[in-house]
Amino acid sequence: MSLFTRGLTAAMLLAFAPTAQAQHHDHANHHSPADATAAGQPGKADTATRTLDVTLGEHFIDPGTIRVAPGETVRFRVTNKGEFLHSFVIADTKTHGDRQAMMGMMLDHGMITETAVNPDQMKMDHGDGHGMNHDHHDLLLVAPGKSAELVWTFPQGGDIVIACDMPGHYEAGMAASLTITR
Amino acid sequence: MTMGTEGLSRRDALRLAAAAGMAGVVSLYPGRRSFASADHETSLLVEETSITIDGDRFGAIAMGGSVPAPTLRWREGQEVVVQVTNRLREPTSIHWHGLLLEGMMDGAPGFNAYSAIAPGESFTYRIRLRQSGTYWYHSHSGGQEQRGMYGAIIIDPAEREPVRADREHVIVLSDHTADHPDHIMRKLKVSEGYYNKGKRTLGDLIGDIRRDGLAKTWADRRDWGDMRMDPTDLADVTGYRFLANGKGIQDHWTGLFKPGERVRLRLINASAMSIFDVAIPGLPMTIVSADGQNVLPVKVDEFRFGVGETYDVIVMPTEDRAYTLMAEPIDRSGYARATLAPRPGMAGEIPPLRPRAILTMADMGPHHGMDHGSMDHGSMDHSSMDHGAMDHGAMDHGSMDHAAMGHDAPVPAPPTRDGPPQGWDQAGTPPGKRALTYADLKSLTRNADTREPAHEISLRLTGIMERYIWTLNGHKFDHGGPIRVNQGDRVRLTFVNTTMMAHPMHLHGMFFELENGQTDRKPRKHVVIVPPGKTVSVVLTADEPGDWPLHCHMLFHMNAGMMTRFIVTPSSATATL
Repeated sequence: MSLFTRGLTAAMLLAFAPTAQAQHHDHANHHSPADATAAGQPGKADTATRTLDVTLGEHFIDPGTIRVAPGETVRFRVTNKGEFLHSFVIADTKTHGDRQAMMGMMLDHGMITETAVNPDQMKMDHGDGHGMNHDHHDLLLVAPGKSAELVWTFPQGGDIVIACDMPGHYEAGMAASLTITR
Repeated sequence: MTMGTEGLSRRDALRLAAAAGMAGVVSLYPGRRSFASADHETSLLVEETSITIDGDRFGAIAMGGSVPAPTLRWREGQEVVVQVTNRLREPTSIHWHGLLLEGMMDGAPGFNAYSAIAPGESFTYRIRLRQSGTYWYHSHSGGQEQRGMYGAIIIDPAEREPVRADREHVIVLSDHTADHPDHIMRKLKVSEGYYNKGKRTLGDLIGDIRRDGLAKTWADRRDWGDMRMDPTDLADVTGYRFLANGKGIQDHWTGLFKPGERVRLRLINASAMSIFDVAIPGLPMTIVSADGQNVLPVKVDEFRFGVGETYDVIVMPTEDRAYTLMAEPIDRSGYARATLAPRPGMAGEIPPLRPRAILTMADMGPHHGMDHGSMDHGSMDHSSMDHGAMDHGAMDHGSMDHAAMGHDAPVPAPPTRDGPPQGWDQAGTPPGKRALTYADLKSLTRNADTREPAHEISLRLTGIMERYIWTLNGHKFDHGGPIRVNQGDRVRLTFVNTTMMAHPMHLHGMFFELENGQTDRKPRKHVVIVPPGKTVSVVLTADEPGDWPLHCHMLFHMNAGMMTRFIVTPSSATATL
């Protein structure tokens, strides 16, 4: 039970507690070290070397192969052109597994549905035209037809995958391979 | 166009393409390049052959030289041409199961002005492919399907494939018997219990009730077990060997993978009479398609697999070891086995067979219409009935409402730790594991037509077990009237199963939309399992003019009469009436 509750709390914090609007680049310096994972950490938009447009749909992440330089900060502009709710998660394989379990729980509890975020459950204004937008963490939730941004600083190396962690989507192939190379 | 036994991973295919200097020509699947032309032609010889299963030789019928027949790989939008030549001494036919096509090309003799292909003759099928997904093809003549006339069809989508896998395998499940199907049918007609061991009858049940009283009989779990009318209720033909891609459990077909790959399994239940529970212990399956139609991915540990259905699943084996795909028929009389392994020659662990479910009164349902020797329960007052005085020889169960009997019978219990699972729908799913239900299926694309049906058609699934007559609305095929609708009609079809067996109902030429709780994402299916005693409804837009078979896909049920015509009158014809 405690594990379950902790999972849910983590889910809410991770995805929704910072009620970020579209362009809160300067929030990057508020990150605690806890925001950093083996897959990197949230970055400052003004240090981003480039902006990468990414499209989500059933069931793909375009582009399907992404190359970054060691330590590079990239601004991802993510648009959901599909009919279902998708997420954009930068993580190692194990963390993806955790996120998938978490999102399964959010589905089970009605916080999200397969096509939308439940505003009553989330107590969150997501009518800003930018979807469930927050640039603080490794997870973006993007509603159908919406866009969101994530600025991310990659580590020097590691085994990192970009994927959608809505239940079943990763298995269906909704992942992009990430290569850190000079 | 046969898929190699070991498949070819997409990475391998890309590598091969690059090595051959064809970088840029993306060959996703083996053989794809041969489809460069708009039309695709195949010839299939239908002929007697012999097959070897686990070292034993049997006579069989091959299409295109093998059992199962070669996998036909096509692409949406193509016009495909298949020339079929009959080298048997009897008429034959090939039906393209699940394909949208002109009635004449559907391949069911006696429908749509199509006649069986006479010995020595040929027939040329021409189909413009309007769909993608996993389907199959099989004989629609007598018992030929049982003798080996089945194979897979894969149609790649014209647009982006919503499922991306590194590798894929086709797994065709079937049941095989040394008995000739005609012989089986004769034996079933003579004695419906021929294939059943430990048969019990309604008389035994009534005897128990008389001896122990109704309440006790109901309440006692052992007696619940005894209450199954007959093992027939789970399967009426036994003595089968169960095959995966034509291989028995000793030879076990193997599909290869590299740990970490996404592997798509295209599963087809091509058996004549066997409903399976399918699981791969240690490997969850993500269902991505049902009956060839994409569904919202759903991760499960097992699913129940009706005759004629297809499911596409994704598995992601990460360990360097062999896994066993187990397909256990619901009567647990054996199993089909396929192996997924990183290298040839490996074998996965084989789990013990699961317990067989015991049917309960709930499986009889409120519509119990099997005529067990003409009993009339209609006016029985169960609270005060004198069981000793019942005339069991003349009772009619047709109007017996078990749901409303009001006795203090417990609702069938969920599987218990020590006893067998109670109820047809109980698969003996291990604790903590998830089995797919129809309610989990959600169409990936929205239903095109969400009108409320203007036409309600009720179809009772009926039968007289003693004479092995299976019927719809009490009529054998072509003894009752056909179903007639007009092109464009929105129709609800309600299947009321009054029998104690499950019937996988199949419609040719069109998809059903299964009413499973979804509003605009009802899954589109060509086969729907109607469990014993249950009612299942589907809706459809009758947009394919023709004279379509609607039948139970249990081969011997269909051949015994469980079939009708679903006639869609073209709108032009309607206008002139």
